Amino acid sequence: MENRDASLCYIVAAGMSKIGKREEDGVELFVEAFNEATNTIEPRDIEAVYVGVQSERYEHQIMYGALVAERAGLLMREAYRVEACAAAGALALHTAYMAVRSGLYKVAMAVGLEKMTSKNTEEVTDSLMSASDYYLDQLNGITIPAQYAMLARRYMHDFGAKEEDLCLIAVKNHENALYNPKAHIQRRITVEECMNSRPVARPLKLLDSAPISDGAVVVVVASEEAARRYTDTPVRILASTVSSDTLSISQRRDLTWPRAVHSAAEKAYKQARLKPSDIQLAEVHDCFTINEILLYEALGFAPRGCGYILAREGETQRGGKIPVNTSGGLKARGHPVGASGLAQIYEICQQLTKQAGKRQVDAEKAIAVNEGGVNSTAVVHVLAV
Amino acid sequence: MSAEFLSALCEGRILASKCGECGSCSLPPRRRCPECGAETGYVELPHRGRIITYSEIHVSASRAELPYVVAIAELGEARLPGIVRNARYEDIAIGDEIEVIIEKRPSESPLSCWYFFRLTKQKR
Repeated sequence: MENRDASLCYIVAAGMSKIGKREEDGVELFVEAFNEATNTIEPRDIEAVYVGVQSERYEHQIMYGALVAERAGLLMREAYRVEACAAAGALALHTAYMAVRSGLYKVAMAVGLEKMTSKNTEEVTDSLMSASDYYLDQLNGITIPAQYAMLARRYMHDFGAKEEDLCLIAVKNHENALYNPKAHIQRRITVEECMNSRPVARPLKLLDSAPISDGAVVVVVASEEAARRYTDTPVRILASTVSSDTLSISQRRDLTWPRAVHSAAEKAYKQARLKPSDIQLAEVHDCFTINEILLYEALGFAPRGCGYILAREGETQRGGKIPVNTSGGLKARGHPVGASGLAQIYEICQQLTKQAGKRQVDAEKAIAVNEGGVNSTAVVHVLAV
Repeated sequence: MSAEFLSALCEGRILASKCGECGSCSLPPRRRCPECGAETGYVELPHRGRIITYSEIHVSASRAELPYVVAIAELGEARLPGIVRNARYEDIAIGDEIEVIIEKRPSESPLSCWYFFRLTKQKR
């Protein structure tokens, strides 16, 4: 019997479809990601499948667990969908991690997918809105962008950040995506262009917002013993944690403090026996520019109220003290909602194993923050080589 | 307990819950405190309060007339989000005073009554 305390969980393979406006349906995008991931492992070794998907509204489809297992040639495995809006992807990985850490399975697959572009912006906004409190927010027509906008408005009021500071995040992430061949948007933007883009929910504008995208990601995890069969350089999962806050931002004591993210991060740092200053790379949930700034603070990269200054000083660019969203983030790599959490993991694996090409940074320890319901469910992973 | 919130609203009262142990207030009211899990009691909220944050929505499927302004207001010890009917983005600042107006809804509507905010006093 293996010593449970010493049991670890490794990422042995990852694959990602090109993100963007795609002709293929969600499951076909999964196959694209799966084919890449299974270049280096035997797909039939996979014993369990967990799929993160946000909504049935886009493809009028649920039961993605069974559907994905069917396409992967993995019938009669444990296969099901997990859901926490935009945190679904990382939650699928957390589920796979628990399955392996518990000793139940040796090899498990996490999948994230979403096919959104067949719907228009209003329909997507409405579908995302089901991730907010029905009585307090939905009945008042308070969209998800408006909730982030209200966080932004309060943050600017309390800490003196300007709309231009938010745009700096967009400029940085668009710049990073130029070097990511799988990114949805490969276009350099300026602060001025961002400031002049049309309002979505003031003070947030179109270029403060992640695009509507299609995409799928696959991450395969394995126990130490199984991992050794596939690769000499697996990525270790040092921590995988989840915390929840109230669904409506209105019920949170402190609007500009993403408490669930902070809580999950504290648990993750403790699990990984690391502190914020040990982290050399981060992928964080920048569905709207303001959130990247809030997450700098919740992760301990900047003191409270100073996240925007970290961005102003360029410390989160490639080459800065702590590069954030080298992939382009949700903002420019794209945001196929259920897939985004695993797209973060894919990027970190590329970086830690030195396969990130022109956007390569020097890092051995990284953190990923994926959240759903406006920081209501936060999923944090710490990875290392 | 959203039913209690709605029936109280139709009687002109805004009902929240308050924790007997940690004092934390929640909307809509619930039996257990989300913070500490202790049992709560009801508390009635004042109809006037201050805006703690706001936005103006330009993309939405839920309302025909765009844009519209939404806010979160502090009413006594609790916080309530809502639509601000009589203001544009430029008119509002954090700290402005609002009044909660409760109105009857048409009989075919799923809710017999609901509320909105009216900006009553600007801070500046």
